[in-house]
This record gives sequence, C-alpha cells and structure tokens, in this order.
Amino acid sequence: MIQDRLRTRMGWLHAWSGFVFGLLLVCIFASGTIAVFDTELTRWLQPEVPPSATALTDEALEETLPTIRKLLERDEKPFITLPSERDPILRVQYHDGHEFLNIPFDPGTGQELAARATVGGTFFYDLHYSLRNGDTGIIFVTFSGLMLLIVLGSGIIIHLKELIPDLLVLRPFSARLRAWLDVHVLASVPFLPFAFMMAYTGTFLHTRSILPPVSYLASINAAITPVAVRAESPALQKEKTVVPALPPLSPLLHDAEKVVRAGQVGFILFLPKNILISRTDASGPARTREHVDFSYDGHFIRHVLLTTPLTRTQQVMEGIHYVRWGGAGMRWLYFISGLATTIMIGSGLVLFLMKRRRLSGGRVIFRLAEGLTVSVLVGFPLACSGFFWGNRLLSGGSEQRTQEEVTVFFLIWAASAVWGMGGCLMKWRVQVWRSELGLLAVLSALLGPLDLLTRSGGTVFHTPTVFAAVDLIALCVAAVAFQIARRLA
Amino acid sequence: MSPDLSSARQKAFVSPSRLVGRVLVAFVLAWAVAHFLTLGSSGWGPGNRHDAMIFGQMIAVAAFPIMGLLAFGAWKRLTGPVIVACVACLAGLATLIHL
Repeated sequence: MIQDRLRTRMGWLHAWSGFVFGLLLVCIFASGTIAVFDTELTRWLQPEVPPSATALTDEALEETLPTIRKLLERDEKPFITLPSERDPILRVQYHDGHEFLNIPFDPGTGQELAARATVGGTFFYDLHYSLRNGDTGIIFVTFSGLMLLIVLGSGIIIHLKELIPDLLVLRPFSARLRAWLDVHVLASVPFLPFAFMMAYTGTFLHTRSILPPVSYLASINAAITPVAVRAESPALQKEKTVVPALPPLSPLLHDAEKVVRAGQVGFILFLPKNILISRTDASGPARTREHVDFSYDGHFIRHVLLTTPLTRTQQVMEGIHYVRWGGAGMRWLYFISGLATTIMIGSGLVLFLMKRRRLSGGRVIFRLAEGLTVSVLVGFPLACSGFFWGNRLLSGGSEQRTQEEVTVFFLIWAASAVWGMGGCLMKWRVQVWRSELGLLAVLSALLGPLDLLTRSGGTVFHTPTVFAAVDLIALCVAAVAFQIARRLA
Repeated sequence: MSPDLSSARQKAFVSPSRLVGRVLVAFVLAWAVAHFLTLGSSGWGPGNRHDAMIFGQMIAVAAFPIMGLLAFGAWKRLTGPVIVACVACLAGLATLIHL
C-alpha cells in the first residue's frame, strides 16, 4: 500500500515510468550524446583519410561525377558533402537504409582516397533516432521521448522543495543509496533545461509518427497502400534506372552561391529529376535546408526557402536539437549535458533496483530487471567499445565490411545481455556487474594503444584532435568502469 | 484506535494496482487531448495548413505531459481526470471547426 498523497503518487509514477522507459532512454541518450560528434567519429573510423586537406577546387568537384553516376544507376540518391571546418574532406555519400555511407575524395585533386568502408559516426545517429529499425524504431523513440517529459515533470514535483538545496549536496562516501540519490539529483537538476529541451524538440521532430494529423485508421491505410502500389508498378521501377547526363557541377555551385552566399553551401543532392544545392546546416541555429534547384541540363529551376514564422520556429527547434550550427565548444557543451542526462537516467535505474532489492531481490522478475539494467548500462558502452575495436580489426577488403561492423556491435551487446540476464537469474549479480565492467574497462583503456598501432603515421605526441579526443574519452570511460567495479560489494 | 480513525487512515493509502488503473485513465485522457489537437489543428489555420498543423503538434507535445500529470496527480474528487476529460471534449469538438 502507498500513501495517497501527491508526492508519493508522483514518486511511484516517476519510479516505474522512469525504469520502464529509462531502459530504452539510456540507450537513446547515450547514442545521441555520441552522435553529437558523428562527423568527427567518421574521421576516427577512417584513419586512412588525412586529418587536413587543401581547399576545394572546381576540378575536384567534377572528378566525383563518375562515382555519382554509378550510385544513381544503383537507384541511390547520392549527395556530395563539401569540405567544412568539421571535416576538410570532400565526400560522396548515400543512405543505405540505415546510415550515410561515404566515399572520400581529396578536395584539391579530386582523387578518390583509399579508405576502409565504414558505417561511420552516423551509425550512432541512426541508433539514436530509430534504433536501427526504421519507422517502428522511430515510433518507439518518439513515444519514449514523450514519456520522458512525464518522468521529468513528476521528478520536479517530487523534488520541488529541495531543488536548490539538493544541488549543493554530494556525499560519495555515505551509504550507497544516499550516494546514488545524490548523483541522480546532481546530474538532473543543473541539466533539467537541457533534458526538457532535447525531449521536447526530439519528440516534436517525429510527432507525426505517433500523433498523425489524420485518424489512426487513415494513417495505417496510407502507410500500407503506397508501398503496395510502388512494388506493383514496373513502369516506375524502369524509370528509376535511366540516368541523365550529369552537368558540370562547378558552374551550378557558383550560381547557387550567388543566392545562399559563398561558403554557405553544404551539400549537393542528386534526385532522379533534378539537382539540389543546399545551404549548410552549420550556417545558423535555424536548420532552413534552403536549396537552389537545377535540372540535369544545368538550368535553374527554383530557389526554395520557407520563411513563415511557424516554419522558422520549427527550423530553430530542429537546429537546436541537431546542433550542427554550433562550433566545437557548443558541441562539447551538448556532449557534457547529454552525458549528464545519461547519468541521470542510469543512476535512476540503479536507484530503482536498490530500493526494491531488500523486499523483492529474490524474485525472478527483479533478477530479470537487474539483468536488463546491466545489459543497458554496461552492455551498451561495451558494444560501443567493441564497435570501435571491430572497425580497426576487421579486414579492409570485404564488401560486407560495413555490415560486419554493425554485426560486431550487436553481437557484443547480445552476449552482454545474455550473460547479464543469465547471471542475474543464477544470482551471480556481483560477478555479472564486475565482469562486464572489467571487460569495458580493459577494452576502453586499450582503445588508445589500438588506435596508435592501427593508424599509419601515428605518434603519441602529435595526434590529431579527433583521434586524441576519442582515445582520451575511452580512457575516462575505462577509469570510471574500473572504479565502479572496484567499489561493488 | 477508533474505527473511524482506522478507516480514514485506510482511505489515505492506495494499492499499486489502483495506481496502475489511474495511470491508464490519465494516459487515455491525455492522449485524447494530444490526438485531437493534432487532428484538428490543420483546419484551424486560415492560410497555410502546414503551419497550423506544425503549431498543433507543438502544442500537443507540450500538452500531453501536462494533461497526464494533472489527470494522475489531482485524483482527489476526480478533479484532474474531470478537467482533462473536459479539455479532451473541447479539443474533440474543435476538430469540427474549419476556418
């Protein structure tokens, strides 16, 4: 029985909804936090690509056209990402249904750079917003975002009186429950605006998936019918394979730059009927996706920029969620805030278990819950670490290499989940936590040496920033995992 | 302990299964509000229908947690559920409006 008061009611709601959705949310926030640096991670994952390059030339742009043609013949929708401050390389990219795969080119000469095929940093981006499950995953993620707003709201009601005093209290060496509660509150309160903002804007981005502007029956019909029509229409399939002659790109680029200003073009997208030259997302907080369209015979078609106040608001909301406009400092701020929010959710999961261990610790359902928690809190970072190892150790020649990287990630995560749940069911709780944390510590600590050994021309004292940052963060993860494993009772 | 005091104390407690029921009621009501807001909003904009729909979605995402917490939190004399049910009815009726 529970006291029927507002605070206890909200405490109950906070605990249960927080635990059930927290298992998913911790993965969403962790992958989102990593995806803040998706472009930089792609550079780490392709160590053959030089860390710096010369400025873009018109000739280099034209050199990409044969690759573009090949991709168009495969019914892909390729696009060229122009060099930027974050990534000085010219890249031809396409979406494989999950990630944006890329083929790097030297921006000075246009020569294709021999680099390993990788899913790159966009793997974490796809994991973040769709759990690598397309529309179904988007529905789960969006719904979890909506639930996070409820969890945050109920959490504020519980802590309303103590919101400010709790900020000043951290007792890492007090009783375990107290210490974890301090960590939970300390990770929550200062980053509440961030958590609210990300939950709200993230949910809003895909509201249509769970709250369609038509009745649910109509939206289910709409989701089914077009797919069936498309599959049965051979005329449409035939039309896709006809690739028109590609025009020289540099005149189009210079024409587009007259509209969106020089240096503001982000990418050139090749659609079946026309070519879109689009403004970079880095140009400002509003993600306008302003674009200038050309036909394949090189004629200007139109300039598209949506400027109504509500569209602008939507663009700003998207912009502040994706943070592609911010410099390195802003991205680090997002990374730290995302990390704190992940810690908030993770510590909440631990607290949920700790509070119920005395009364329900022997029950099968509790042991399963603990197994799930281990799989998520330790298994997910373990799988991430394994993914980086896989990237460097898998052979470069395989055509299925990108898929193999993904398989490594999910195999490690699955193994961690099986051991986590199996071990907890067998009442080997401490051994499960210790072994997984220990493995995480070892894999993460050795990621730096692995990077140095598998990157050509790598030296300890002259490591480019993106490589040094990834290696140092892995070392920090290793230290934290080691410390938690050491203090486990 | 007098019987009156004992029953009053019992009333001050609630079983977890009842709380689950309350959560379901609050969820359905809050979802109805959010759904009707997104459903009707495209008809409320005199000019650009897309803009009105976007605005409806913005409101719906913010309204869902507020309505949910209100319906679940203010359970005494069913104040919260009644208020949220009224809002849901109003939002449902508003889907009939086309400007």
